[in-house]
This record gives sequence, C-alpha cells and structure tokens, in this order.
Amino acid sequence: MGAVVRRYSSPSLRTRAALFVGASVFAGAAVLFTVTVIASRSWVGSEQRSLLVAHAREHARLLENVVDDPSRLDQILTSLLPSAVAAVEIEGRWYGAPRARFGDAPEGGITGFDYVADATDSESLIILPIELAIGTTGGTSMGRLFLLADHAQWDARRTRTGRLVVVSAILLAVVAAGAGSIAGRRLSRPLAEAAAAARKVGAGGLETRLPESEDPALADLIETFNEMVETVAARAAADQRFNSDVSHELRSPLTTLMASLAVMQSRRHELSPANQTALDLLDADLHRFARLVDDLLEMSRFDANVAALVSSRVNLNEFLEEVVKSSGQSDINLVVSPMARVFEIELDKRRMARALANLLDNAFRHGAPPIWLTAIEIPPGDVKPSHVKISVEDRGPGVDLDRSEELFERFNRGPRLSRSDGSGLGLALTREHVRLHGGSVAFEPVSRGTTGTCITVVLPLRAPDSDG
Amino acid sequence: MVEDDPRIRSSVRLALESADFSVTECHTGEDALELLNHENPDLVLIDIMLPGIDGFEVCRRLRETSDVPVIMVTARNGKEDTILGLEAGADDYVTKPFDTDELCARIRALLRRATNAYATPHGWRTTHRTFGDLEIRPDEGRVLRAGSEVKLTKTEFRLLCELAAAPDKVFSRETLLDRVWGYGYFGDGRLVDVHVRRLRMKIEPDPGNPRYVVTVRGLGYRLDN
Repeated sequence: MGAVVRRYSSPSLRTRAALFVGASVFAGAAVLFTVTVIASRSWVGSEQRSLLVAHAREHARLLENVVDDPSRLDQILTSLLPSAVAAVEIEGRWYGAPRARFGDAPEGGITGFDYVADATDSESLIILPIELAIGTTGGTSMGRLFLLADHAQWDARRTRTGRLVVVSAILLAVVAAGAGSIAGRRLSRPLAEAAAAARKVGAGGLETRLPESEDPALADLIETFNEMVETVAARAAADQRFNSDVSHELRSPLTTLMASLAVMQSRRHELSPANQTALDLLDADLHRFARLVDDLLEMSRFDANVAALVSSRVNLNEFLEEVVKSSGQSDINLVVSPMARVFEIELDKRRMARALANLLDNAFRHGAPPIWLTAIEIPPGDVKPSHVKISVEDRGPGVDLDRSEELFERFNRGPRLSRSDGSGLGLALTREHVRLHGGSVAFEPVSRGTTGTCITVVLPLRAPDSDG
Repeated sequence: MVEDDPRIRSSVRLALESADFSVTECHTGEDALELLNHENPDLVLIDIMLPGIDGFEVCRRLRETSDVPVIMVTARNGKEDTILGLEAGADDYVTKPFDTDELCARIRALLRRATNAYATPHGWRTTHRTFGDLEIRPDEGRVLRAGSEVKLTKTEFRLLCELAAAPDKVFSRETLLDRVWGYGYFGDGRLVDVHVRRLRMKIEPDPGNPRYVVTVRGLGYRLDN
C-alpha cells in the first residue's frame, strides 16, 4: 500500500518506438542513398563523357567527309555546330572559335588520343584527332577538333535525381516512423491492457484477470499480475467476510441485550432514580451500538457488491414529506419546486430515506437551524429535466469545502466532532446508497454572506437498471 | 417461539411476557412441528437458523395444515432471507437485533387481524361478494372458487378482502401495507408483493396471467370485477 511508481516525463513507449524505428530507417536509408548517389554520380559521369566523345566523333567524321578546303572550315563549323563552341587546329592554324576560348588546352603531343577534361563547371573540353583531305599535295593533313560540350543539362538531371532520392529517404523514414508507432502500439498493447485491468482492480473489480499469453516476455508479467489480484481479492474477501461475520455474531447477543433491556424498561418504575439513569444510559448506547452494527453490515454488503435496489415508483414530494415526518423533527423547511412536486421517481425507499435521514441527522447534530430540505429539477426550469437535486442546508458553522471529501471517509468525523457523535459511517453509507441509485452526493457552497452547510444529492430521473 | 439460542429465548420470552403474552418455547424445528400438533398458538415466531430443519421448512410444513400467523426472525436483512421466509408462508418478519417494542407491535397487528380478519373496514362484513367464479364470504372467513373452498392464510384473506372492499380501485403498496400489516410509508413493499403472489397461486386460474388481482405498474394492485 502507498508505494507510488514515479511517472517519468519522457515520451511514451509508443513515441519512443516510433522515433527509434523512424530514425534508424532514416539513417539506413541515408547511408544507402549516399552510396548509391556517389556510385551513380561517377557512373553517370563516365557515361556522360563517353556520350559526349561519341557525339564529338560523329562531328569529326562529318567534318572529314565534307571539308576539302581549309578556307571553308570556319563556315562549315558554324553551320554544322551552330550552338557549340568548336574549333579545328591544323598545322598550328586555328579555325572556328578563337583559341582563347578553350583556355589552357594542351598544345600538342596528344594527337591520336581522345582528350576529355572539364573546362568549366558546366562544360567539358573534348579534343579529338581529325584527318582532313586538304593537303596541297592531295593527301591528308592531321589536325585536332576542339569542342566545348555543355553538360548543364546532365547536371540538372543529376540534381533532380538527387532531390528525388532525398525526398524518398524522408518519405521512407516517415513511413517507417508510422510503422514504428504501430509496432510500438502493438508492443505496448499488453501494457495498456494491464494498466486498464489494474485500473479496474483499483475500482473494486477484483474478478479482473489478464488473459494468458504465449509470449514468454509477457507471460511472467501476466502471471504475476493475476497472482497479485488473486491475493488482493482473497484478502478483501476475507476482510469483508470478517466484517460481515463479526456483525452477524454481534446480532444474537444484541437481541438478547435489547430484549432484556426492554424488560427492565417495562419495570422502570420499580427502579431507584440512580438505576433509572443507568438504565437510560444503557438503553441509549445499546441502541447506538445496534445502529453501528447495522451500518457495518450495510457497509459490508456494499463492499461485497451484494447491495441491491428494491425499487418502487414514488411521488417525490410525498416521499420527502414522509422523510421529514419520520425524522421526528418538526422544524425542517421542506421546499419542493413546482416541477419537482409532480416527479414520480423510481427508488429504493428504505435506502433513500436512510440516506436523507443521515443528512438531516448531520444537519441537526453538527449544524444549526433553520434547516431546509429542498428539491429542484436539473437543469432548473427545464421542462424535460434529466436529474433532480435534493439538498439539505443548515446555518451552522459549515464545513471546509476543500476538505469536504474527507468527510465521506468511513469513521472520519469532522474536526469539531466528538467520538460520541453518530456511527461515523453515515456519510459513507449515504454516498453508497445514492450511488446505487446512479446519483451523486457532494457538499456545495452556501449562499454568499451566510455560513452553513449545504449537501446535495443528485439523482437521475430515469433510474438505472436494478435487479430489485 | 422457535429459537435455538437459549439466551435469546429467555430474554425474548421475558420481554413478551412482560407485554402480557404467554409464550411456549422450543429450540428445534422438529420440536416445534411436534408441539404444533397438540398446541394451538395464536401466533408462531420462528427463527430461520435452527439446527435440523430450518425455519423456512418449519414454516412450509406448518402452512400445510394451519393458517396461524407466522413471524420470521431473520439474522440478515438481506434480500434472500426475507423473501424466502415470506415465500415459505410467513406473514411478517423481523430482523435481529429487533426492538422488542417493535416485535410486540407486529405481533399485536397480526393478532388483531387474525381475530378480526373478517371485520373488514367500510362496514363490509356480512355481504358475500362474487367476482367471476370467486366468492368471498367475509363473515365465514371463507373464499370459494367454483364452489369449492380455497385455503387462504389470514393475511392473504385480509389482503383479498381489502382489495375486494373497493373493486377496480388501485391500492398502492403503502396503503395495503398500512391496512393489512399496519406498517407506515417505509414498510417493506415486498411483503405485499410476495403475499399477492401467494394469493394469486391460490385463487387465479392462471397465476402467471392474473385475471382477478391485477398489477398496475408503478401504482399498486387492483381487484378486477
């Protein structure tokens, strides 16, 4: 009892699983894609170069076939490759684009080889050997074709591909995080079930058990949990039985005591004044004791969940009048709203009368007159109200509303009250009686500028299902 | 008085005697049934928890031959004991620890009814009334169904007479409790329900589908003309 598991403020298991799976997949994807991008970039680069060279070679072959006079080279180069920067160098002479355009291109010594190099960020310089039939002797002259090929297009495509790859990686990570979240939920479902079961047990559902599991990781938890509930249930049942047994055992001697006392009371006149006083003390406390045993038994029935409603349909106004009448107090102001006067409600007369009698009793004992018993529909003035609110109000010293819940605890008397007041179970029983009717009991503030206690019982106008 | 606890027996006996009742006691159900063969009490007080045959059984066997008023003494005010006691044929019940004044009041109410069962209110005393094949003869304390006598306990008879005093009028449980048992508003309505059920078993052609003693939902009972 009282052990509190510290609640960490870190994210939930589910979030952590989602983050973990998402992050791992993202990292994996990032590595994979980086490798792919680098590999494909070098592959695309070499592929691109050979394509450029192949193009250039076609141009070279074209030139070899059509050029027969160097003087026409300029014109042919312009018409053949209008958008390209191209030049031909033969025997130290340049045709086409100016020499400066090709930067520090190698002067010679590479004849017979293809030469490809990146000239600028977006251009590649290609130098190819070319054989032109323009020699004065009717033979051929060897020359070189210089071409600046634009590869911006390729780069753009590569960038696009790169972007696509990054987007895919992110998408994949998101999907993985989602999957992680689902996995996390699946993973934490048994935990959520256990938590729900524990909550049920806490609320008194001691028959709650977790279903068996094949999973060895869970089986231990489930088994331990079920054993724990079993133990708690057994102990609660034993406590409850003890309470019930004790109260039952007390009933027989109490019967004897009360019957004997009645005999003495009937011969009261034969007793001396001192003995009469003693008899009265005995009488008063015996009845209080009988009441306490009765309350304890009533409570043990609530604890054992065997309290049942014996409902009947009553006129609310008539019922409250009877409650006032049987309280034996003449100075209770009964105020029932016009609408509530006609309410016919389904309730267990004995239980509800007991509940209200306890409240009236408290008002008389701990409060001060005037005392009101009021009933009004909720919401007030509504033609189709859903609830009725019955209040008991007095003008006594009042209770501390912040601590009023404590007054519903068993044997918790207010700070001002002596041990000789009541059984200590009154409010606890009242709350149980009202709950059985599907209603609630609470203290409410009294109107401003006055002192006093106001306690209200709110009952649904449609009674809950009862087995009575 | 059938009670196995000697202390309760003595003290309750003293209390009853000081209220001017004469008491014969026995402490087992078997003794009680034997005693009832040659004694003719005005009222029987039976504790449920008895060695040997229990209070319910004593009451059931007693009812086979007698319509003497019976008060059950239950140790629990739980639902089952009360209902079982009434089903067994008890007329009323008290719960331990009972107030002896309260017990005396219950006894007097039952005795008044038993000796006076036929003096129903409203001056209706001698007239025989007929409802279908049912004939009520208050002066003779008899009810005939299709000409043959139906054996009712005094409480059942009184209940029927109350209903028959104003045919077609709806009687609330509270009214019947007051008139037949002398209980106030907070009396146990199940007393009425169980006795109506027992009455139906005896006078209705089809108790599950009553023709005479009709339930008016939420209000009470009525005797149909």
